[in-house]
Amino acid sequence: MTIAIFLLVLFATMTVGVPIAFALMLTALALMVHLDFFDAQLLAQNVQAGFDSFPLLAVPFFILAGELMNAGGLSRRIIDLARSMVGHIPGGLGYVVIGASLMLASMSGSAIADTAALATLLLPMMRKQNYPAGPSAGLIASGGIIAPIVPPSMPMVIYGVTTNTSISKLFLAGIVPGIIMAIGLVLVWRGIARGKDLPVAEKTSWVERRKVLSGSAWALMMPVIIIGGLRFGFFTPTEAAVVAAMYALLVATLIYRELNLQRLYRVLVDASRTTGIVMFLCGAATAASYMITLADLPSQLAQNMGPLLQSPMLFMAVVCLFLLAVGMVMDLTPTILILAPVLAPLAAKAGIDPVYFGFVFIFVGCLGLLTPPVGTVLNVVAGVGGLRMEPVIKGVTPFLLVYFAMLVLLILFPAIVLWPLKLMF
Amino acid sequence: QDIKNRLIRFGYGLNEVSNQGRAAKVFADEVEKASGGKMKIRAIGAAALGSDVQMQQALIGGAQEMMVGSTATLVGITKEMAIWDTPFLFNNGKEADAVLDGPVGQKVMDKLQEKGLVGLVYWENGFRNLTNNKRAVTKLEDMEGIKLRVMQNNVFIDSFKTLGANAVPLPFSELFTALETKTVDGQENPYNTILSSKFYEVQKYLTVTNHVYSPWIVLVSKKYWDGLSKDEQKVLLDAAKKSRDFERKDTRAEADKALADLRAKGMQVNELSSAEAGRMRDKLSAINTSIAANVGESLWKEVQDAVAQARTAK
Amino acid sequence: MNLAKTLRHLVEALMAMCMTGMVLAVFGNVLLRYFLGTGWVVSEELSRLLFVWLVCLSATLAFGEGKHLGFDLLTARMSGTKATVLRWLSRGLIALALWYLVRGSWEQVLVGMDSRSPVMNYPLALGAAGTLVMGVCMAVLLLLQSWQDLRGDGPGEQAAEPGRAQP
Ligand code: NA
Ligand code: NA
Repeated sequence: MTIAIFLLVLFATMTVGVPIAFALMLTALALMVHLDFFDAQLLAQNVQAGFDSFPLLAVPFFILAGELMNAGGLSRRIIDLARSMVGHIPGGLGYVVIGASLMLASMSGSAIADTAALATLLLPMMRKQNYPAGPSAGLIASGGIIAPIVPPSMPMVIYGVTTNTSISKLFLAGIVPGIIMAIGLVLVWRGIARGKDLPVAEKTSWVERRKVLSGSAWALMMPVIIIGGLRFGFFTPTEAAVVAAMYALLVATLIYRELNLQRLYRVLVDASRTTGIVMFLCGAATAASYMITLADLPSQLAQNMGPLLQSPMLFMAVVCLFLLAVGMVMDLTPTILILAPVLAPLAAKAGIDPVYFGFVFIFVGCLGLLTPPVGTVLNVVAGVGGLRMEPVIKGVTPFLLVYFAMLVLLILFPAIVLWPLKLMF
Repeated sequence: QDIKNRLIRFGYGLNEVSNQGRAAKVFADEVEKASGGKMKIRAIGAAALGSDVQMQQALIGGAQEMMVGSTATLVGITKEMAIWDTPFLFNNGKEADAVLDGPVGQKVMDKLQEKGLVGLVYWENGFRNLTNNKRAVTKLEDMEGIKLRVMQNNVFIDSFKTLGANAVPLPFSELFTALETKTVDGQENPYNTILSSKFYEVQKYLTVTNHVYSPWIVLVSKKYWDGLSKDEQKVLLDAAKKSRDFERKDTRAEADKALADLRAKGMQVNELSSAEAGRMRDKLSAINTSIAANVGESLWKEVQDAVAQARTAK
Repeated sequence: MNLAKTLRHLVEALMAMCMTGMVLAVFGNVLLRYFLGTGWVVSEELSRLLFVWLVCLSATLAFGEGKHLGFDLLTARMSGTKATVLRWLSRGLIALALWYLVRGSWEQVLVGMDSRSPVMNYPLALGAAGTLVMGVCMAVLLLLQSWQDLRGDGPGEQAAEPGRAQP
């Protein structure tokens, strides 16, 4: 009964066009009436509690760091570096996209910010050199979603806070899979580029490369600071985020000198606005999950799932299929906020490692950013590149397939995530 | 008997398997038994109903019925609660029980009423003890230069600074990593917490300082309480008292066991002599003066008298 | 609508100030710990309070700009009377949520007048006031949108959203 009310109110209100945050508040109110605990204060209190949290401060700080990197010339230099290294290989700009994706991913926590930077800088270049539009855009989108997999990661912060999972461990769990993703993209892109007669750029001389490298060295220090700082415990994730933002600010203003006060002000306002949208959702979801806890929804679900909980692998497979379906129509953040508080306790009951489960949850959620009809990252690439959706969707398909294959491996061999993690701790 | 069907949400911060969770269960069972099954307690742990502060505000507003939590977070509502933060106030559990359950404990608890809370009983969180990686603390001077994580609370920060430690306020959630990576050298908590949080994995020395006694307090929303019949109030109060007696016994047994476990896990345990504890207490006289000023001189004196009485009464 | 523009600039300035304050509070604490071996007590409480206000202000701004995430799979396919009905239904539901948000926040502001934060000693009402201001401002924006819709300014929601003319 409780589950029915939860789903019915949430989906009915969302379908008639109520923004997700308000739909979640209405769901919370409906559950309060159902449980006979109606009090408007609980709504207000929990909405506030949803963002009144120190660990969640990592979210605005990572958003700010990403915006500063894009506005301050750090992202551009990383892309230049990738170009000077692999631009000369046949189909080289594709490898540039992959290399730059991975490097940017280790500095920024948001798929949207990274995809925007990659699409703005590299898509016009690829188009000018007659790279096919669809596969190019598809590759950029697929590279963009490495950002939330490799640390730092905004979705992992939100997942960690909503489910009480160690954010540092989630972060470190993503490093190896992120590299595997990049390798998968390389394989697919090689197949695509081989058949086509793409112009080959001149090889960059080592003198030139060294120059580009030293120019980007400051930007490359960022992942060292973030990952090193987390691994060796110099900072908590929140502090790592603020240090990353301050570092990007210093490099952008003092070294690259590409950020004036006016731009900085815009960056602050834009980062705040994005924060507001994400965190308002967090607040509303907290109100709903408070009522979910009171209604003891996970236990109710567990009773109906008996045999599934006996086999962790089967459980993972079912959850992943479910999340893929949800990911088609829902964005990543609300997926985490709505489903993680319900599914994480179930996974724990099934005896699944919480960090592994959290990582796979986020990985599948990221695939949803690439699937129509609601694929935020696809929208960003199409929007920035001025492309129609159809070729982009077609272009992303082969990359998506390789990611699906990877997901199957992740389910069959949890050690892919767990083993490197054990080595690190 | 004038008892209606009631469902009461009782929130707490620790897990179901902690001393807090076990005592909450005892309370729930006692209420159900005494009310003939009419009053039901829904005990919800793991801070699922929010932090202590969030629950307090919900109780005051009448949006939640009951909770148990730290007295230290109540200082923002009722300044008199700060009296229980006084370092070296009690020497042992017996003194704490006598004072907290006596008239002055009740008096402090009753101060909550004007702020919309009804205190029923005090439970025991425990005496806080010191662990660190630098040296075994045997005397006051050994505190010098230890980077010590303290709660984010002005009294505790000032106290440890006065004793010579480098007090670093950190949220509890970040404490283990901070110890593991040597961001801080030490911390202070009851034995049960030191064991359950696995601090023994990253700390070498444990000093039995018993420097602060931390009580918990069982609270009811006054808005809710005033709507209950006398019989219903009595059911809750009696059950709370039973849960208190169980909780203290359980917690003390667990603490003894925890200390033995910590020894077995390889921690080097030493006891702070009462003479050195006395020196620390003297060194903290300025802190005591400011606590006395905050809670009111007369209350300070009443508590000191009650402690003295409990001490001689053995 | 010069007033709307001025208001937006004011809110943006406040948002930027909150963000700057949060960065300074948390980064300052990191610096103190590494260079002076001590912490800044106020850091966590201050940054969280600023965070609450940052979120409330920017969520309000985003509401005015129609930027909160939603589903438009159904609504995008509707036109004419059906679209109008859905639009008003959705507004009514948002209004319902806002009504309880405002009421609850108001009660929590009253409760929080008498409760102080542990370190900075600020009244906890200051936090609850964030969601109160947010709820009231969103409700005003919703009324404005509805009124403009009724007056027939442009085709429905799109043109009726205040703050659309983002530079
Ligand atoms: Na990343
Ligand atoms: Na999708």
